Amino acid sequence: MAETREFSIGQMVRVKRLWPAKHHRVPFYLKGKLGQVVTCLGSVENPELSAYFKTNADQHILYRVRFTHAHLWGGHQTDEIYADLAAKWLCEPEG
Amino acid sequence: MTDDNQANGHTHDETRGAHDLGGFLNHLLAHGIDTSISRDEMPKKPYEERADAMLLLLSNADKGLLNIHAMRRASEQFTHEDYLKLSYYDRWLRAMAALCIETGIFSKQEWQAKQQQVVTQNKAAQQGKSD
Repeated sequence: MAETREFSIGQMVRVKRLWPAKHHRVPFYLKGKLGQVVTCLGSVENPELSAYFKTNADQHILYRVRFTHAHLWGGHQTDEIYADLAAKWLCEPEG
Repeated sequence: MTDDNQANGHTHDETRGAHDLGGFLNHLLAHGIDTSISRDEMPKKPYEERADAMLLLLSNADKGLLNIHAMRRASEQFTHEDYLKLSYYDRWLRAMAALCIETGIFSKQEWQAKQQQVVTQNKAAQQGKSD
């Protein structure tokens, strides 16, 4: 089955501000933040389902997203932070 | 690293899992956690080796009794206090036990009875030594 890719390389994305009590692989400090898509890692096992011993046929596409240290934590550091995030956790930045 | 999340008033303890600690330095310090990074090699204790071996057996793909995601989920469900109080391998042990009960490998009653038995045995062994 061909993978449907929602985001393109180099595109800016925002991490969704959602607070599910269930297991998810998005740290608090990235929620609501803006990052840039670096690469698409393809479809992987969905940890949000595996954590409950479940599976489904849906694609779980993972993107590597780059965030600047300054955006996440303030200050003037030039360090970057890379996080592998699922498509369902990303959206187009508004405006 | 600053405590930007806390500075913005978003502590969200009720919505943030106990494991989700990035940016919460003050929270760690308030719980007496040593936030320095040790560069020493830490040899595993015998019970830690056993915990590792048990997890490997339970995670065996053929049996599929446990998996890393379920293990993480179980640890994330601990209270914030318990999560910070427990050592790395104690978290894994508690998560393994919780999942074994959840999936019916053994019952909560069996688990509690076994814990009681070990406590009794240890007490007897201690007395034996001091006699």
